[in-house]
Amino acid sequence: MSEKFKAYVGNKSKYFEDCIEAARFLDFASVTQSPHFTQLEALDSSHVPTIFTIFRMGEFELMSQMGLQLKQILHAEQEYDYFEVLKPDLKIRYQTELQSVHKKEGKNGSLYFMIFSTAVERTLDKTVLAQVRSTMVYRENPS
Amino acid sequence: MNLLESQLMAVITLEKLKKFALASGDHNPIHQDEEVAKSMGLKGVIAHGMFISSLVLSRALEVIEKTPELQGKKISKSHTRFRAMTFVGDEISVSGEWQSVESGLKLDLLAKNQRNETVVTATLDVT
Repeated sequence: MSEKFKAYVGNKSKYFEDCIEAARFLDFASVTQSPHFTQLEALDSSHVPTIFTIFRMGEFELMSQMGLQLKQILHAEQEYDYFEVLKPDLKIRYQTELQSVHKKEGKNGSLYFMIFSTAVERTLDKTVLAQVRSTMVYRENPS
Repeated sequence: MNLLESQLMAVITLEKLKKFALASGDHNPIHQDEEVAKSMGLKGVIAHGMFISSLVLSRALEVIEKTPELQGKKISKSHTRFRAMTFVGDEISVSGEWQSVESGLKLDLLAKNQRNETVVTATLDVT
């Protein structure tokens, strides 16, 4: 555990709500070269599995609370557990928790590995569609 | 063990990164602004990890649909590790292997650049 950010571990973001309409879904599928990006009927998270990366406002909120600048952040790992399919126009909500922070010394200074966990839920019945874990690295002295 | 041949998925351009930033909402300037990227000690603009990860998973989807034994199956879990940075101009190819396991299938994929450096590895559970 890093002392510097210890006080933030366990903090949760507020709930964010979202609803990805078909055009936005299609755009993400196209940009990421999903083999189904032209098929509206196949447009769901089973065919566009990284669509959940859109739901990062909770991470950004927690990083902002910690006083971190986005430009000093790198991505180390990303995990998804998929439970239910996300389809266009489905109303969802999500909340992110900072699970842990670990410090390592890099050649240019300290690196802080932060694990954020986000549950993406269907707003209607709170069913969890996916559990997301992101490991982000904050570079204290990047230049 | 079933091998997946290497397939070129993308040549990384600034335009593609800007489109991904808009589509994903990740506007970290190190993925779009050369000056900011260099001020952060990077050689230049780097690709979003999730853009490369998305290309890897898109390759996985192609494989799942084209392989008779895998058709109708879905990715139930994915774990991606970002091993090295990807820069504008890099050519990203994805290869891998899959095997049957007790719970279904496991795919191990890796994305390499044109210098044969591994930039992303991913393990997927398919059930």
